Amino acid sequence: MSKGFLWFAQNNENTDYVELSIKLAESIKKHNKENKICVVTDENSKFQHKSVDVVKVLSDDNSAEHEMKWANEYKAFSVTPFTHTIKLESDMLWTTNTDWWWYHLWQHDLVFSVDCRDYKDHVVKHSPYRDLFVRNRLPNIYNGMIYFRKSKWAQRFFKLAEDITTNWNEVKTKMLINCHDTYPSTDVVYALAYRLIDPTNKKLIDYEWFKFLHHKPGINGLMNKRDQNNYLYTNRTGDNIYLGEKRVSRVWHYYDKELYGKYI
Amino acid sequence: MIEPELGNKKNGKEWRNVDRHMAYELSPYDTTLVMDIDYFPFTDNLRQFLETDYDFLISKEAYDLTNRNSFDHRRWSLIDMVWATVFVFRKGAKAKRIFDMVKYVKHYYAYFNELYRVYGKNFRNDYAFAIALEQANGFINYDTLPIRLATLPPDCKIVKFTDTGVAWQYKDNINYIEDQDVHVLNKESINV
Repeated sequence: MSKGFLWFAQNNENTDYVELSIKLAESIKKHNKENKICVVTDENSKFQHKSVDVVKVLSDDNSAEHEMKWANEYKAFSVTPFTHTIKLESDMLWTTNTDWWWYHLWQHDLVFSVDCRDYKDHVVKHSPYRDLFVRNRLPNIYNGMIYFRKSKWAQRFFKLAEDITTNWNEVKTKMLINCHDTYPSTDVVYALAYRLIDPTNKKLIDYEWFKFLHHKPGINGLMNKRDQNNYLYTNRTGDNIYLGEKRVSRVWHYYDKELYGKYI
Repeated sequence: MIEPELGNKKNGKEWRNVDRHMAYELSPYDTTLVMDIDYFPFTDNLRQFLETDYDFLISKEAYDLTNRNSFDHRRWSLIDMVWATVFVFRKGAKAKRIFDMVKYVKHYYAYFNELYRVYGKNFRNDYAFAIALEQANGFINYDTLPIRLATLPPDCKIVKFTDTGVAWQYKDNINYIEDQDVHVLNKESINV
């Protein structure tokens, strides 16, 4: 029975996701005893690093021609080497020990981060980025942090995610209202798949601690600021990241790749 | 009896509010509930907070009894404000550290006021305690009272006090509340 973290890292023209992945892996290793890590990548981005235990190279890259490399994320279930997996995104950073999470998570088949948090650690249920979710009555889940175990229920979920991804053009025009994403955005794919397997959210687990800090201006309530990092004095002191009056003390989805190198 | 420290102004008048950091030393009790004199406890709800295991609890949210949400203070500073109107502390290392930090913040208030971009420049306990709590708790969340302080904004004129509640006038409306603790911001209420 193995436990571990998994995420996808496929470089594109703008971002070196492998570099971000190494930072994330190092931060997990630093804080957690349970720290096995698997990064899924493509032929062009493959790498080796001491902080990453398993690097899996996709044999069939569904997003090879895509600008945004989202089309492989449904494969998380089939590629994970772990029985219990926490799936992340590479532009995240671990800031605290979360070993205790497993005792709660592994009692379930599938756990999503429902809603997210702003830099003040407030839970944010409504954000300007999620109009599509409201319009289509999709659950407000984030693919940035998901737990799943090898189970029939999780398998069913990821099979649906595969069907949605591989039929994206039909799905976005016939099943979704006002969806104009060229590529299958993982948040939308996962939310729609979950809506299909659990339309009333009867089995949706919502742990208040299983949420990450999402560093988007609209989540932070700082859409009216020209540069939220300047406003918040984003800085690193020692090993700690500070945003405004707060020290980042949860999983941080920094999102803004320019922060990498400056503070990460 | 103490001699109040002078020099802080509000609306051009002397504002005698800068001594609250002395509560720790002045209190003869192990556990102390500190209240503003314009907070009227028409219930004994606060009593339960004297019997907890927390070292320091302060109120962070106020509820505008006129339903105008006039206490959304985020826009007035970078930091979340607390309401030093009501707080409870139990003497010990943690509470002492917080009060020591309040003194420090008070001493360098001009600096902290700029750092946290507080709109008002005069000394305000609500910000001094908020800043001290952030600093003393390692810049993460701290314990707060699980209540929202029912508050009447300054533009509400108090028309009647009874043993159980208060009636007020806002514009052309008269309203009243009973069996509920109330923070009254209109200082003319003393003349009712």
